[in-house]
Amino acid sequence: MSTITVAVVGGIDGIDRAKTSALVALAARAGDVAVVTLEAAWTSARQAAALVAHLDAAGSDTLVLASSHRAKELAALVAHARGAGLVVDAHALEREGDRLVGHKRELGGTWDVSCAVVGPAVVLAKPPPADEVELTLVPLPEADVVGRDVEVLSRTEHAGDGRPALADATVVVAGGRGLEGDLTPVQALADALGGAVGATRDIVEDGWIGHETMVGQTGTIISPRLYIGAGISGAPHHRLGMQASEVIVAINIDADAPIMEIADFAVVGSAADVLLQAADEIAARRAR
Amino acid sequence: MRVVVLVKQVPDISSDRSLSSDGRLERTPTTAVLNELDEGGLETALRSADALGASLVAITMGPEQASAAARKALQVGAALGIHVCDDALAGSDVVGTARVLAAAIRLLEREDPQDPVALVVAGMSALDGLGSVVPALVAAELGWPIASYSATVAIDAGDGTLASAGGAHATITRATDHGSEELRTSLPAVVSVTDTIAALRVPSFATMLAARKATLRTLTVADLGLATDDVGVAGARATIADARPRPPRPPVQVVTDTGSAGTELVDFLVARGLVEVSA
Repeated sequence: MSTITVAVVGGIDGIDRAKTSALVALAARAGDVAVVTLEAAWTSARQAAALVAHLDAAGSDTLVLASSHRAKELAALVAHARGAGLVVDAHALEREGDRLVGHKRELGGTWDVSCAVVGPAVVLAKPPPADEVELTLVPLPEADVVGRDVEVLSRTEHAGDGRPALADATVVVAGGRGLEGDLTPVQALADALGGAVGATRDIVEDGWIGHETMVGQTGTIISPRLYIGAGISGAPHHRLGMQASEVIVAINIDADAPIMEIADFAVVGSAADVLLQAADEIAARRAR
Repeated sequence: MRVVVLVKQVPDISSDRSLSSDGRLERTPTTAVLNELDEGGLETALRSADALGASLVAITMGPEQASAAARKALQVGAALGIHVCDDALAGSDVVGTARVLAAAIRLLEREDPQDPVALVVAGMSALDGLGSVVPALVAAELGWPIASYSATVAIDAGDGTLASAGGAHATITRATDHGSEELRTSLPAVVSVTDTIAALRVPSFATMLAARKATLRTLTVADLGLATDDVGVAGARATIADARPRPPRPPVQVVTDTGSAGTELVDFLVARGLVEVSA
């Protein structure tokens, strides 16, 4: 059986080791794994050319990438070049005879679907968190792009807020219009829980917080261990972005808000008060 | 010159959506709507066509009722709608879907080589599968550059030529994993756009009237020059092995805040092992 190639972007020093370990753990369920790295500065077409050259030379049939907007472009280009089947957003992988099977959630996390590929495969993975492992990384040499490519005119890096990225966070505390413009309580509980801050489309459009925090089918689709939605009614586009979360907590002044129906724990009350009290309570119990 | 917009009919996300036993989406005509994320794509395509002095062609693929997505494009100013409709398409994976859409674009160019396609625009994803990979696969099929998840798209007709340094090009901005970037590509190219790019214009009386007379062409797999085993379940490299609804969530535990709900929330999180505090 051929080796599974896990490819991560960022060069040897720039990669996210926790995330790479999670990818390796997911891929290892289906076979032996080798990890290669790609330069972040390359365009998707250049990354794809390097990967295709490597997969051909190594005789590796299966490629696993961490799912992201950029990775979807890369996955499509590699899948096309190699005549591979494409599995999008798998949270688990296994080998069943000659089939590679990816397990995924569909229709807003309400269905379990498994998707099978025979022969070459490219998998965009959303692995659950795993313990960090020793990684042997092989940086891939640059390869030429056949045909026209996009040209990068400029790149800007945003300074992070020190919190985990929304897509990778195991805890997400999200706020909506019910916070009345002040997201301090959301940030306080997110920090107490070591989680990321999320937002609804409404408050992003109102300019309370940046687009990168938007949870929903058009923002980031999340499936953390814990989601806390505060002052969020639960419009369909938001629900589809978070209802695959393992445990859902909703805090809303309106007991009939749609998000209350899909919650495990629902609080009817002022979102700001409940968030701040919970953050203080966690700090107090830790101080004891 | 022509601009192509890819549109799709999807089940309304607020309807009760389900999959069949073989993992295909149940497409009930009564709950079918234009993929909301295609609206920004359609508006971007209209503006790009203006900038290039090009006409707009809307292409959709799907069962009979899916033509409504192309009709919507005609109502706001597309000159032609193409609906690829064939029983053989059922069970297509993303690769097969892209093969069909690219074949339709190639057919347009073959039939009228004097009127090349300069740009293909799509929404960032469709609200049923949310795969977001079809635009890049279409680009790969055509051998054109791809810029997906574009937040802004500016078109410059240049000297009016295609695939040349001084010719028509697009400048794109988009978010990256840790920031943003600005890209430039010569045309023809494929772009997919985010939902925040632009709101779809309201149809004017003139375009509504034109839509009534506009042609909606229905094409089969054979018309595209593809074999039926290139598409659908026969041509799919990825197939659904199993699909089942997830068990319903356990009943919700409701607490009404009387001044201590924050503390009760912490009790719940501790009991579930979701937060570590000293006892």
